[in-house]
Amino acid sequence: MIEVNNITFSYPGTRRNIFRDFSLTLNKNNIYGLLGKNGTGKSTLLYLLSGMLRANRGEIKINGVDARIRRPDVMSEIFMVPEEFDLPPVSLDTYVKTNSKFYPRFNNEVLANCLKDFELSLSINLNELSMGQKKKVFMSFALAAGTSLLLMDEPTNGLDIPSKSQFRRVMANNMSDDRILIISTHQVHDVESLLDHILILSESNMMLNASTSEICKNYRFEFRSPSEMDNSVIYAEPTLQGNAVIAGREAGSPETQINLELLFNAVVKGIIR
Amino acid sequence: MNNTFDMKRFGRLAACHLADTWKAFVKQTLGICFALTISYCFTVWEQRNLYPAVAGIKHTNQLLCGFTLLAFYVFITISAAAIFANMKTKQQRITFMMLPASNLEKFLIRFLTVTIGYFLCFTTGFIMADILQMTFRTAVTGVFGFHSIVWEAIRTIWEFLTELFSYTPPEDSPILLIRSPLLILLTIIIGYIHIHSVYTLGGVLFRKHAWLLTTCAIFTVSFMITIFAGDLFEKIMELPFSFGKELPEHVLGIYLTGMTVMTALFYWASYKLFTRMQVINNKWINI
Repeated sequence: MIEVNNITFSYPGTRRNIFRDFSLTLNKNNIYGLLGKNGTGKSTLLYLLSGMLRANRGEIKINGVDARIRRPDVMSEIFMVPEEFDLPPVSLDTYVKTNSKFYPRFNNEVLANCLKDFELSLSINLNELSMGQKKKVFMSFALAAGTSLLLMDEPTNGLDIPSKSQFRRVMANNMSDDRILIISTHQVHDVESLLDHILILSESNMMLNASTSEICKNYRFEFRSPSEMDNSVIYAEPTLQGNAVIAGREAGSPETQINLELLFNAVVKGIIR
Repeated sequence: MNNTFDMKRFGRLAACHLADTWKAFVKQTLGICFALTISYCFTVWEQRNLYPAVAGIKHTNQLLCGFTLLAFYVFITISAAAIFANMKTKQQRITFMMLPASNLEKFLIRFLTVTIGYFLCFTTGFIMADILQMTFRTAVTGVFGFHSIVWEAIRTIWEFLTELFSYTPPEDSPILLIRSPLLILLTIIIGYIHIHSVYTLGGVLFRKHAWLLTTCAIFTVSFMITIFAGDLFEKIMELPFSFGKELPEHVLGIYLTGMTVMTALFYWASYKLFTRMQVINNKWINI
């Protein structure tokens, strides 16, 4: 479990508080989608959770241990796939041999499966890869590491369209039950089918913290023509297919798939909380 | 598993770090080799006709040896400021800080990199440059001879140590006041380690241009100490103590103890600053 307790944070050398008295609890067996406008603190929150940044006040605990200390036993249970990263000038095989030993639950079979899905091999040289290929390699390693907390910052940035499908397939096939996965992204359509909990940040407040099942239970996401608009509509946006609406769901009516972009806009505008 | 220091984990970290940095080591060694080779070959070329054969070569080699030892001293000292050169960009900082090793292990691996690692780089580059200058000398003079600058350096250091431990100053010499060669050697070593600790602290403290800012800081502080404490020291020496000829040794002992304590403090402060480093920092110092 991850506990964020009343943290206040501003970047060293700046005065603006990114977070002020911010609290959050994250439980295992969940894939969290962390959404928010630019500058609301999504990446910052990931860095705080991993101990890469230190809150000015408050504490963040990973399974009861302060994240700031960066204890090796806690670090071996956290893996972060940042938006941009460096890989050393060695073969993937060498990289796996030198780095996998830091993660006690590293699984070579998972790595092999991920690489197969991404159409990559162990013999490739990391410095010869494109950015998208490096991302696939790094994500494969991240999944194989078997850490209980996996953080991904914009994981689909730089991936081509087929690779985004590959990413979804790889994630769905290789995520285990005892993990927390937090995906911070603007590309909601790339990940909405994976998520089971939505976190929407806005100006250092958590505007929405709800499971997808809760959202689906309370709301319907559908397209309606102008004549079909009624009092049940909570929020609507015009589209080429008609009005994309969020409406209240009646008990007994079928659940619909979440339109994450529509939900995000409704939350950010304060219409849904 | 010990969360402060574990030998197996440190070994893994060393292997991982070597995989990340081996190219930088090779480039550095080649750079040192190139710089030294150019200096040696230029000197050999310029002085090829100036002196009689053996004496001229010995004199040239002594000059080049002195230059190399000075370059070695400056390089190894200032290199301490590169202790976190592997954390220049945000991506590099994330990679290093996310490794599941303790802060102490990470600090130690970087410390060993900029001390032993850079020492090996310089030594390897020096040996390579020496081989190249002997080859060049043979090509220029047409005569092969073992005129190694590395051998000259080893001989120079050995002679210095031998003379230091065998030297007996005359009775009326003020040098009698410092009679222990071991104390003199200790002074040199502690003095060097102290400067190294200052550059290490500077390397952790300053985000950019660490070696330059540390050098400026050293000059500034030295200047201020000279102005404000210079007179004070003279007044202490004029006090009517009755230590006689032992006074400077006691003063030296106090000075060495103080330097050792300060050195330990600077290394400790470097480590503590490292433990507080963050992946994003917009200030010009890492505090």
